[in-house]
Amino acid sequence: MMLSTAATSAAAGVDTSILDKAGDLDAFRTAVRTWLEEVTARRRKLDQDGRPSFYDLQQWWMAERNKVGLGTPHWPVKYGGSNISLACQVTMSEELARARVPAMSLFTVSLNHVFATLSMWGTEEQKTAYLPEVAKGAVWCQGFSEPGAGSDLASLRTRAVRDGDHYVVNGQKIWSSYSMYAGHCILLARTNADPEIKKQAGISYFLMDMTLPGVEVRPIKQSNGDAEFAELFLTDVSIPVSQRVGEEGEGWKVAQSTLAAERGVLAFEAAERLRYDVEEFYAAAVECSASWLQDAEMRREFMRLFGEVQACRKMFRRLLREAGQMSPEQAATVPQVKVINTALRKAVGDFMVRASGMDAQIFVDCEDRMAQPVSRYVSSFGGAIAGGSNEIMRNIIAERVLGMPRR
Amino acid sequence: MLEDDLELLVQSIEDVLSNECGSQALHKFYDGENALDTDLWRQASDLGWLAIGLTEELGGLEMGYRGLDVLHRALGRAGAPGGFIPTLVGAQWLSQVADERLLQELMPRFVAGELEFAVPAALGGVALEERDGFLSGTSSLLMGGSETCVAIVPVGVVGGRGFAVVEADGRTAVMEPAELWDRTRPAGKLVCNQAKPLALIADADGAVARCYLSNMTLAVAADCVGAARRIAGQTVDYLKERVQFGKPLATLQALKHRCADLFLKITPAEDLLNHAVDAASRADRSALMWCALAKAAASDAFRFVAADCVQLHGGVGHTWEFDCHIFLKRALLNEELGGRNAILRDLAAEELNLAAMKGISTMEIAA
Ligand SMILES: Cc1cc2nc3c(=O)[nH]c(=O)nc-3n(C[C@H](O)[C@H](O)[C@H](O)COP(=O)(O)OP(=O)(O)OC[C@H]3O[C@@H](n4cnc5c(N)ncnc54)[C@H](O)[C@@H]3O)c2cc1C
Repeated sequence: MMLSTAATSAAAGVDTSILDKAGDLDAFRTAVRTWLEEVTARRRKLDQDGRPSFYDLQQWWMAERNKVGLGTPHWPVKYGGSNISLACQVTMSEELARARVPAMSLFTVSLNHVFATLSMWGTEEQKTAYLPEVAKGAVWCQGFSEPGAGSDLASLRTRAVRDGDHYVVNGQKIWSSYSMYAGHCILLARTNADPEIKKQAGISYFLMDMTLPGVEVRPIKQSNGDAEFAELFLTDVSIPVSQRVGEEGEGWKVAQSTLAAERGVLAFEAAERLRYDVEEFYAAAVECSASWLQDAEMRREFMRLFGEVQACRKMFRRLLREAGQMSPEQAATVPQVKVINTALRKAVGDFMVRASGMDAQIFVDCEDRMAQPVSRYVSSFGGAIAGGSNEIMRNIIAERVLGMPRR
Repeated sequence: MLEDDLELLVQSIEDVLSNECGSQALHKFYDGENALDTDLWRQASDLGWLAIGLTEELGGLEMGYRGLDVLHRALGRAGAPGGFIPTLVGAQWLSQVADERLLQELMPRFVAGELEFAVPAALGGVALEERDGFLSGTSSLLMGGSETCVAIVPVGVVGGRGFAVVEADGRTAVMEPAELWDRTRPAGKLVCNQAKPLALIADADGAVARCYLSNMTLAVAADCVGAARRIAGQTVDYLKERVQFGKPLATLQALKHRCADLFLKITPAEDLLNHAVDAASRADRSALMWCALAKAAASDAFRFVAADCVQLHGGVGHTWEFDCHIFLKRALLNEELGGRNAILRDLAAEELNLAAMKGISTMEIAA
């Protein structure tokens, strides 16, 4: 992997001792690992003083990362990032997964979607208004899907009607992850409902302040009992024209970069985490002489999955190398990555439930439900449905990768 | 005669369940907002369902495994909450292995709906310890959770294995409830401290355990196929209604094939179960083998179906408010009940081997 030049500057007050090593991958890895050991010790202390809520823990973790300039390492320095090389990002993800620190779920949209969209389409004012805030831990949500517009996103009906220097927005969004914590929302709304034009051409892209009058958030509980997503009810919400991204009617095109961020970058660290999940599961089984180790069928199934996890990690490394030479839209392999990765998570969850036997069926009421195999398994469907379902991904693979004709 | 009775029975069960145990009521139960389990229980005992499988001498309706099969399929289809499986399995099992005295003591109470049974979720867990006729220790997980149930639990009696029939009294024998991911099923562990059992049933040759296995696997298999058919049907209905890209999703061939596959998984499992029920009804020598295979097939099918139904529903399938997760969690538990499918297939292999060594074919299908 090519090493780019190390970050030379960072925001004031940042301890740059790790970033300073970005030119030497081994030294960088060691520095990240040492830092993560310290952070983990602080985390333990935090837990002893009373377990923090999901939100507090995520914000604490973001603050810890920002102290050393690793909050948004892939961003340009100008917007609060550290601009480290792809190789360093990969190394960092490996170390984060290894240290079992929390995934930055709360910031998924802000760090990836918002950044990908604004860096390509945002005005300079929008970039400077929002990206530094996002880098500090501002939470954003994504308001794309609607009750009637899921896989067929282009049929969305939330209306934005121009009224002077504002748009008045009415409609309903659904499945908006972590929107109950979000200060802002990337929103798709219809600015032109003329049935004569293509559905896609009537859509515009907005940055919506969630504290505006008329925005109501109603959490939806998912199958494991947690409520991580919500419905948004928008009634006469008045969004300034300056908060539109791209031209009016260009929203669909803008959204493609958002969706590309969703389908691409996010998966690498997740695959690295899966490695440790699988390794730890095995180690724990050996430790307590789990009965499935004596079951040839289960052993073979485990080894099959074990191989697939490794293949997945190898695939990501290859793709990241190739991605250096192409834009995300060109990366025709991205839908394959999504399907392979999410199907594998389902299969691993399914295996863990069965391998854990009757014990896994007993519900334990604790903060970290994902530690329980049943929760892990039922939640794993989320990834295979969200962000363009795996069925839609298969259509894309067939049509764009394999060149099979559209219906 | 039996056919007519069965038909009437099916009708009555379906009526009650469709009135009382609809999706809304089930979700309310899931969220602790009604007592659907006890309501259904009361109805079931009033209408005589609990006595379906027992002989007339024990106050039963004499409909045997056929009757039980119909009932468990219907309960599975409704996703009915409550301890129906352990109670019906417990009663049937005891009727086959307990002595006259114990049956006289328990069965009238059971038929009157005053008694629930708890039975092992599966065999092979820890056994209670028996000394001088008293029990101590904590059982492995039992299905059935009422505080005053009669539990049938494995014990390690001196000189061999066996089962104890213990009435939970809240003092020496306490049912400690366990909350499951599948909230429709009560379960718990029996904690004994010098508890005096109602009876000890020795099982040196494993015949009592085999009886448990036949009863439990048949009940769970029936629950699986009923439940699988329900959630699959509901998914097909959903796709017929859900419009994307200007037409119902059900018009897409890729999804049609997926739906067809759901039913292609369920149908053979149902027929294998039909065969096992017949074999058990005739007390066929190969009955246990077929029961074990039927449960494994039914539970594999249910698990596959329940999982794909989540995916086929899209976002709503991932929510608490839709039915999918209730059935998925039920499918996950069912895989464990009566023994994991792999263990049951191993058991079936042993049965086949024994029969083969005696030169007996196990594959005859009676007219
Ligand atoms: C955990 C989770 C988080 C989410 N977070 C967000 C978020 O933050 N913001 C946001 O805007 N949205 C979010 N979503 C919504 C997500 O993008 C949609 O759920 C997804 O696009 C599918 O749409 P749908 O749920 O309406 O399913 P539907 O489109 O109704 O699909 C139902 C089923 O039909 C299949 N199907 C549909 N069309 C086709 C086709 N042409 N060919 C074959 N099969 C097809 C689907 O794959 C699915 O199995 C989230 C969803 C989940 C599950």
